Amino acid sequence: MHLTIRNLKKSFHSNVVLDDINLDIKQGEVTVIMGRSGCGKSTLLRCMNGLEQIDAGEIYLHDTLITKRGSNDAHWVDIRKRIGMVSQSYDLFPHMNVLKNMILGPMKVEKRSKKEAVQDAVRLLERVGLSDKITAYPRELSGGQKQRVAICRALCMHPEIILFDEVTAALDPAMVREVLDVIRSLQNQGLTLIVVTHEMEFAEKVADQIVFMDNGKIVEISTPRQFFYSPQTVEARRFLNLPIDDAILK
Amino acid sequence: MDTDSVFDLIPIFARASAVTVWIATTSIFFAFTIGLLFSIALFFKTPVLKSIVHAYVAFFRNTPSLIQAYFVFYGLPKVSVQFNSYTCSIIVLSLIGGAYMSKAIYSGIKAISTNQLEIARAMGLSKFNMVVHLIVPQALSISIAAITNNSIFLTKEVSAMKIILLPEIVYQAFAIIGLRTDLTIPVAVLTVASYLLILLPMSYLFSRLERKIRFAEFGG
Repeated sequence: MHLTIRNLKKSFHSNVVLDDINLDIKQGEVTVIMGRSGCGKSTLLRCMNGLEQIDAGEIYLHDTLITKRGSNDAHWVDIRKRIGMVSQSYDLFPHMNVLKNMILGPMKVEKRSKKEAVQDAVRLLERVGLSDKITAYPRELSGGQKQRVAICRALCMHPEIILFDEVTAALDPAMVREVLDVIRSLQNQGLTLIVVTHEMEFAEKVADQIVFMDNGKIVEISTPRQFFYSPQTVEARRFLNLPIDDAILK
Repeated sequence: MDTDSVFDLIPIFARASAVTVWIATTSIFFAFTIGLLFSIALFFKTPVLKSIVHAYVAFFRNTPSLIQAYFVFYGLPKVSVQFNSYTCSIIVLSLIGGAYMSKAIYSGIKAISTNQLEIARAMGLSKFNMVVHLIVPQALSISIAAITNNSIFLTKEVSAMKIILLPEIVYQAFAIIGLRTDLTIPVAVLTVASYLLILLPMSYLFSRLERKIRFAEFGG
């Protein structure tokens, strides 16, 4: 198991956001997390790289417990080198060009040489078709281009896992496609991808497992085929706008 | 005063202008340094330091510079701490400027998107690297206009130091008028001219700097 989550609980004040989460994520697989806005998907991602402190439970990376109580920043820096993250708002650094955005992490966090980091960045940009944008500033890029750069920036750190937090939510349909194509191209490269998204078609085609969350709980973990064509819970059927079968209601 | 023509006043104003420029640039440098350090302390909510910074800003922004200078120059010798009027002016103006700069730069830091800093954290960047590579460059380019204003303000504020006998422009102007009321108009003209000669190039340099480090459309 690449990432294992056991009995995770997280509240903001009296508001329970994640309630007894158990999840196994296999190495090299694509896990898609779906659910209504506010169901806790993003918070769950943010617990995995320590952006949120969990209240109870454990998260293991391989077999190492990464959510020890009172872990310091240095501990999380080591974890964050291995778990990359890409967010909805791209969050490119606006005062740096594309290349500088990409080599900052490798040079400052991983202490790699500039030459090596640049080579890596150039190669990655080529792969996503943005070689000509290497000296462009974020403001000169379209949303889709920004998001592809943001993905490359995460890849530059050579992570084992990448967390995608609604990365296409702010994009128009044409751009959604170019970004999802990049994510798809990462499949079968040994990378473990954890994707929070509302893109059903993408989830169906790419996911190895679908995790469906509702109200802070995981209510269904299944294959895409099962989730989209015969979901087992009322919540999932409602989410997918499927008729609710009396048999399921019991 | 042994001044026969208006032209004899010019060297006096040149020397006074040099004093103003020297005190102003030194104070702007220290004020900027204080502002930068304190705004970062405010941003990271450093426990004790944060309260100290708030109290410091409240005090220096809300009391007249004249009185602050008076206290440092005439008050501190009573407890055996004595500075000459140059040092004293630099201390007072740096502290006043530091209070203003802290607020200006802090508002620049606050304008940086929190998402951006969060993704930097998710990348594993240390606080130090975030400050050096993300926070300071962006905060300065956002607040450069306010920094310019504060710098011009501080330069004019040097004139308040006449109360502690700093031989700057206004001090000299008053001194001359006190002796020769017939020179009031030429002295007034020279005073204004001295300030314009200092501040217009300074404003120009700052606007050059502003254009250089400013990048349009933040977060876009």
